[in-house]
Amino acid sequence: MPVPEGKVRKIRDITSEVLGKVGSENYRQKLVFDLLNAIKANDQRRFFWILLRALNAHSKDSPKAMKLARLLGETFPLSESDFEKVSYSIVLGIMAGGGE
Amino acid sequence: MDEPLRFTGNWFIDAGILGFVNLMEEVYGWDLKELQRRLREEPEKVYYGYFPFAYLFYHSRYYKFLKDFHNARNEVFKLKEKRESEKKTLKELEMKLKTTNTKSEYKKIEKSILKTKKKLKGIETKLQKATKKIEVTKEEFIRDRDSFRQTIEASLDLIIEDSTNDFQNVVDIISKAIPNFDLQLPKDHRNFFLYNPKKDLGTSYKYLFWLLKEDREKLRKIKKGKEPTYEIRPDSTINPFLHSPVEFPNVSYTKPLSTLQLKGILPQSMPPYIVFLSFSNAFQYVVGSYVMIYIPNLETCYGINKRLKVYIESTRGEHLSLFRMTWSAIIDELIETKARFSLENLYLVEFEDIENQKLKNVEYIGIPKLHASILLDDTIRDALNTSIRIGDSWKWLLEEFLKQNPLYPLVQMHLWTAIKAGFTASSRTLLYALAVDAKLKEQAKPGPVFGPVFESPDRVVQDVREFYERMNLARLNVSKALGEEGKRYIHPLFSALRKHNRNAFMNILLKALTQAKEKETVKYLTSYLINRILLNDLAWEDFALALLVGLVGGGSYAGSGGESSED
Repeated sequence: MPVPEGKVRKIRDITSEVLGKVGSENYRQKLVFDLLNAIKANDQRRFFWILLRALNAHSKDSPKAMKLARLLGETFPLSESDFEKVSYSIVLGIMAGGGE
Repeated sequence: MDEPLRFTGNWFIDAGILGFVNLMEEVYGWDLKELQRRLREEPEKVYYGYFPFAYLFYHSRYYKFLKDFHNARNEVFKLKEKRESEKKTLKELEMKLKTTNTKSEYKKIEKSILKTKKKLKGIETKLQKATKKIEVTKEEFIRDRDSFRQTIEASLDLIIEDSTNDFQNVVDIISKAIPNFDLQLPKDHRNFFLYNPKKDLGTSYKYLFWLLKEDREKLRKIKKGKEPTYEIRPDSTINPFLHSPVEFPNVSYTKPLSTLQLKGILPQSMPPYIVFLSFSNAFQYVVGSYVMIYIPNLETCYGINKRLKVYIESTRGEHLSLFRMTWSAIIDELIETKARFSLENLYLVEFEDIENQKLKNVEYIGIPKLHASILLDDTIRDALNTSIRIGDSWKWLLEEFLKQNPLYPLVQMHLWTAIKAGFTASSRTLLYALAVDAKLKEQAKPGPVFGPVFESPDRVVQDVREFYERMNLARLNVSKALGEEGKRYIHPLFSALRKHNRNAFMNILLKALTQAKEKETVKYLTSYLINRILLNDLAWEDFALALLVGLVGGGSYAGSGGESSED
């Protein structure tokens, strides 16, 4: 079953809160680049590996990060079109920069 | 006030009514208002007096005038072309004369110049004669028409009164009513009594009078004992849109409608045969086709068709397309009358020609309600009422929209041309085209079984406007975020769009945006990218192309208030 739009938006919002402000500008730029390359290659394993590593490094104990991990766990594994939606919403979440 | 003349809702019958109005205007110069007034005051005189004479005048003297006038005008046109070509030859010869070195050659050219000058003089004289002929043809016609109008005005009461004597006492008046009377067979009639063979004016009027009165006895008498047939049940004899029950007995299981049955549908006291005799007058000849714009309301229908006529006359000689001309007339009338109902119930009836009394290439074109409501919005219509360049040709966006063609490919091809040629149409036009296209794609999606059947037309227009606003802000933001660097991404983004590859488009764009200097603007764009592109499977390409409009258009940046988020 395709991932509902509401869930995709939720993933984007939580990612934004969890990863939008972490590290330096350069770190986030590098992270986005790596994620985009994984999406381009349609490599789900690599995408989640990069993402989870970033989560583990910066927001291990935050309840929001746990919520995001749980949400991703529910949707995984994804079809190609759903992966496109979920992965870009994560990237866009990071780029949106998080609300304070 | 209840007007005596009104439409019935059946396009075929209404075409006859409109033709009747047009015919009376053509011959007597009455507009719809005047005709309604006369019908209120003296219906009998109009229907059985003015009308049959108008019909006979139109298909004899008026027809001859049109034929002579067109011939004379064509002659002038040809002579003018010939004159231009001779002038060109003369110029070339004179140039040659200047550069020639040999004496024999010089003499030869001189001789040719003299010959061409003589030819030119001859053409000039012929041209004067032909131009004069146009004037004379017009003058003669106006003289005959005025004399006809005067006779009719003066003697019509007398003529109609004498119907009790079968017009025995007014034979002389009738036979002199139309100067130079010579019936010309209309294309849409076949073996109609009047033309088979041609009758004199007295017999013609008498026949039409009793035909309109539906007096079988009198008709039989005029037809020398032959039983009236199509006079009772009009068929292809009088109109090619009707079938012939003799030729095609299996077309319908019943006979065609009789005049008696028609009477019940028509406006009160209107003789049914008027519809058949005037039908062809509802159509106008525009660039290779006969066209009628039909709307089930007499006043608007008359207004639009009259406007079309003015357009045709004012653009004579110019090669405007049929489509552009008819729709210009429709749109102009709409702007003035604001008649939503009319547009939503509008049809174009069009045929190429009538050959051997058979119709060629008949087309009935309607306009969907959704398109109508979009077209009625001034802002959207203005934006689409533009031609955009695609390669070496131009496309009128409104035409493509009305033909229900998708606008996205046109904007895409235009942008491609613009990238190469460096000239873009206004972003307002392009974005509205994309917004409309996106809305139409959304509408095409099958809705839920128990969902609302129709979306309110106002809602559709609102959505298009909202789409436009979103696209416009995103366009400004993307061009602000990437600045001059943005130009570098045009080709790869364009290529991704051409391959319908959303993944590639997003990837390239996001990589570009990570390097953008204006980080704040990127924030605003992320909502657009997720809502309009990522989560919009139906119309993501329209919203994506809108961003390219920004990059190709380049220079215009958002002001301080230009940024917006969708959340």
